[in-house]
Amino acid sequence: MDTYDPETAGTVFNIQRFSVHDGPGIRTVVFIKGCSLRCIWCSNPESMSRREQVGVFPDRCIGVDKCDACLKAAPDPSVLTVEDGRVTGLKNKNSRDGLACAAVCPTNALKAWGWRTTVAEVMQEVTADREFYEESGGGLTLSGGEALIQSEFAIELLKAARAEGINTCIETALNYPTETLDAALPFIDLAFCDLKHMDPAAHKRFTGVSNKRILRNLRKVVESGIPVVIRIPVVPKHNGTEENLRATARFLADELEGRVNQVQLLPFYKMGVEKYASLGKAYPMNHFNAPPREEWEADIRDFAEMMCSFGVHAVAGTAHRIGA
Amino acid sequence: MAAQAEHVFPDGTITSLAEVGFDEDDWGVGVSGVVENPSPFPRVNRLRNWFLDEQPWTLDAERALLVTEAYQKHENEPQVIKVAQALAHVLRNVSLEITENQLLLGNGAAPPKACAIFPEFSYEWIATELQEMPIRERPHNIYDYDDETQNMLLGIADYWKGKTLSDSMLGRLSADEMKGDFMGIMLYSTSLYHVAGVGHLVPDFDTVLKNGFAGLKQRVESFLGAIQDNDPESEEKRTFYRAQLISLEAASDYIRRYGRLALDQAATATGARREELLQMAGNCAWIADNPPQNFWQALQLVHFVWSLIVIESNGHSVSVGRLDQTLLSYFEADLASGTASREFMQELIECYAVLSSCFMKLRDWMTTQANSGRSLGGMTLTLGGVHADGTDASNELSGMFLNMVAHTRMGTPWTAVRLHEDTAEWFTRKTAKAMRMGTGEPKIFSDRVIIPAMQNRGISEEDARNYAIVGCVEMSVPGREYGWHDSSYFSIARVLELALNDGYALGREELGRLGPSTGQLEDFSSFGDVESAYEEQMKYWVEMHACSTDVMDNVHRELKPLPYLSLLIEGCTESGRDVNTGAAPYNFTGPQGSGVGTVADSLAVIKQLVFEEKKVSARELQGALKANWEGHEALYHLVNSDKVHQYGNDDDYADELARYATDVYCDEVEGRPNPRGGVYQPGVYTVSANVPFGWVQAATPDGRKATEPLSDCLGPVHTCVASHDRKGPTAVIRSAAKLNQERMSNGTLLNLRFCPSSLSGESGVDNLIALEKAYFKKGQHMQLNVIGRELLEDAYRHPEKYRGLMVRVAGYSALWCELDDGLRKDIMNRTEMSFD
Repeated sequence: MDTYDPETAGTVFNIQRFSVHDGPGIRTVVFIKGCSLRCIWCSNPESMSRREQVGVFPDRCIGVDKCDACLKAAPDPSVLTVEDGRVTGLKNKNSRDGLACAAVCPTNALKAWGWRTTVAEVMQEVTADREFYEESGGGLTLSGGEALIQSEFAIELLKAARAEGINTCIETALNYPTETLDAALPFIDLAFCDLKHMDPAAHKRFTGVSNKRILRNLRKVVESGIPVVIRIPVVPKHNGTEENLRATARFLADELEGRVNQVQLLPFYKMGVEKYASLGKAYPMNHFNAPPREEWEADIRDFAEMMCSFGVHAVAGTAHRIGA
Repeated sequence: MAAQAEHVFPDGTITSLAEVGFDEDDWGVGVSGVVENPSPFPRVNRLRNWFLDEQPWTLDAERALLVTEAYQKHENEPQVIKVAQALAHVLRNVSLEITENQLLLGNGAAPPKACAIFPEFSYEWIATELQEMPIRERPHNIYDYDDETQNMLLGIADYWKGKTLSDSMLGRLSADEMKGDFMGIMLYSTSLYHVAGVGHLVPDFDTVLKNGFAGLKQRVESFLGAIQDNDPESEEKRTFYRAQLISLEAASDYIRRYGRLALDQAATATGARREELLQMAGNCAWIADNPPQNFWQALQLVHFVWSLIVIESNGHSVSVGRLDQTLLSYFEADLASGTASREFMQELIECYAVLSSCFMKLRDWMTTQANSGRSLGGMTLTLGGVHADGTDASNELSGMFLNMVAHTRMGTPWTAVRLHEDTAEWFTRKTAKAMRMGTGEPKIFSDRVIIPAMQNRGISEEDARNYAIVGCVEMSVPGREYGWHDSSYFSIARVLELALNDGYALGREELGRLGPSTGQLEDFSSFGDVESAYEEQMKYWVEMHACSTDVMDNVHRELKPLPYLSLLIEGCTESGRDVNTGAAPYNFTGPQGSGVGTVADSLAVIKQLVFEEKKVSARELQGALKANWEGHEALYHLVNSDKVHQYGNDDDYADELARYATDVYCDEVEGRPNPRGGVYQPGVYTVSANVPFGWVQAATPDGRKATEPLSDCLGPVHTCVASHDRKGPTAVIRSAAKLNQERMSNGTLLNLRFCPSSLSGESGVDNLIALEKAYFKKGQHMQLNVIGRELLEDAYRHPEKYRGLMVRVAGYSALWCELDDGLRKDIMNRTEMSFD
């Protein structure tokens, strides 16, 4: 029996039950806050920082004449901007004041992104759906942000799940020291590994970091023998090109000897615009014009077919059973 | 990523199966009723299109006039003879027709898609609506008729004044029994059986298939011959048997009439149709008296036996039981002998679905708005389950009936699948694949929970294992039970309102105190006081509702004996007593508690915010409810937010209050004796009664505004600003499984709505099955809608594009375009369970 420390603390920004596309069966996905990449197509800006943050959604505010809960709760109400009778801004997105306001806001006009918690608390929610995991072959999936960015917390969670007999998956971008991976791998049943671009320069341009360490870690995961699913968010005109996907297929077939279990090509949608705004950030893909959905989804199916011709098991989307 | 889902969204409707990649192993996800020509049989598609596009919905006066003539002629005869003569007069004289392309015969004493009228149950509202709010000019659920029909129907109104069941009930109910009923504040509603027949049963098909009508007749004659002259009930029994014989002879004549009509039409028909008509004529001539010889005849006889119950009794949810068991021996014998092919029998089953879809029922405008859909409703087919020895009963025919659901998508018959731990895997998967189409059919039931729940009510293990579904939710023993399921809907949310308001109805204080004086919320010093008041009000209102229901039961017994139905329920012919007197082995009365989520979340607000956190005073909360939350916006949003405990999130705090709220209701209902020698048994579901209950209730502490629907069935609260469940279907399922469902033997229902993407692919089937299996350890019954909100919104704007779209309303499926506006909005606002 693995031992773990139930009091290890970390920050998560969502716990989503009945997730059916993030590993086998019915799963609970724990979204760990913080990421070391800054992908320009990211639709979860609240996942980037490791700290608790507060988003502001002015449209949801019912007006300070009807509700002054935040003004009363904030030790320093001057952090709040009020315009036309509504709360429209917050000076310091991760201040104690902001969090105190979010805690009392009845409409989530001030919404806390992330909360501090412990392994024990997370596991209480995770084990609640144990019977669904047992019936479906599901379990826990750690995601993010980057699943392993708060490595100590994440590894204790994986150990805890193991101790409870619950299947574990992670969704990772693999951009961290190899020692972190070594420490986590013994507690992982299946890994979803992102592969954003094969060209190091393009990778740096789109995600802020080079792919060298990522590819090295990927090889390590594959060599460990656990099942691996590659996930590629296919963004038109960025990484969603014939050239890049061909290079990816060649890499998987030649360098990794086709030892990944599945390659999932995920369609890109313009999402998260509101969330960027809530954090006072500009949406990086604002000027991007997506091709019509039918056209783009057909392209993705063609890409999958092309990759299959290299001998890798590529599929469109996440609804296909993952073969052994 | 929803490979199948995209097929739902082309601009027009889908025109061919090939276009949606249709195959027998995968009928698609969320494609619902928007597929044209879903059957592989051209005949079935033609019949379906005839039903959807050509045949009009009408009112038909013939049955009403014939019944009136017979009542007038037999005015002075015993009631049981009078009703038997009325049935016989209808069966011998009503016009018959044969639908082009059909292979089966037998309409409902009216043309296809026409409503027969049953004046003996209630008539005043029909006469009133004909004159004041014409049924042919309704905004939806229209039935057409000409002036002559209207005049004929109005012409008999005077005769029925004071003679109907409804009139008799109104004359007998006390003011106390009425003040809480539909004619009062509608804390409960007994309206269904107040205006129409009871139904909700499965007849004993096995005996009639084995012995034919001639066998039934011999049986009655032998009992009649055996009556001893010194039996003090001899006269009454002789009269009853005479009524049964009148009914039986008329039934055989009716089937023969259809046979002769088919023969007449064969004379002018050509080619294959001529052969079919000759065969249909032969079938009728034979089964008018004799036991069927093959599958076609057996299915034809099942339909006649069933349709005659409908023509006699006006009941809804008269059901056909476990046809995959009843018809199996005929199916196997025909295959073995080469009498019929699998494909032909599949085609017959699909013709059967269309034929039974042609039965309609006229409902008053008020009921129609809450419970719309024009079809007769509730005729339910049950598949799967276990044999008497507990082993799996699913078989090839069970699968063919699921094909029927996928190939016809008409919503009739309603289809229920019984699942258990040993259900064959192929059948479980096929069921899941049928469910994820999104037609709302089939609905699924848990043997593991239901069989013990029935045994708790004194039903033998063997009988419990043979249960079938009757209507939306309820379980019944075929041929052995008269269960009065659906006897009334009962709003526990209104009970709570009176408990917080000293027995007054909020906003209806001018009516005076209606319930016992149990104090105001402001006077309560602890949450325990709230519970005491709720318990005391519950006791009083369950009592009043049961008194009102018992009056109805007595009136049905006196005025509407059912001698034909009594041939098909064990114990009646044996004892010489009508089924209405309690002659069946099992007799129940089953009311439905409504508003579980509303009460749980209301109690949670009071407990948490008023008594524990003291964030809100009782006075402020009461003031907010009286003001319908106006001027109390912060509190309104707070109670609708995730900052209070809410049912449906696997949160013990709220879920325990839901269990408490339903336990108090079950405590009062359970085991109360009824007039037929049986007992009351509680059910907890709303079907769509949450909508009309909501119309008449003021704001509630859970954040519901006045007139909004109550929570549906076992589901969580959804108000116009927020769905209170936030953690997805596993949490909803776990919350619902915490209720004591083994006590709720009249049935429960959990509705879940999924978007197509969460159920797509083989893994979608796996996950749906896993959800079912986990819920069915503790839960009885689950139904799915698999429809994207995007699709529903488009359907809301352009109902004309979705004429075939079936949705499950809650307990029943209906055509989307038939639904009332309020109901459509309600369905759209239910949380969509999707996590891409």
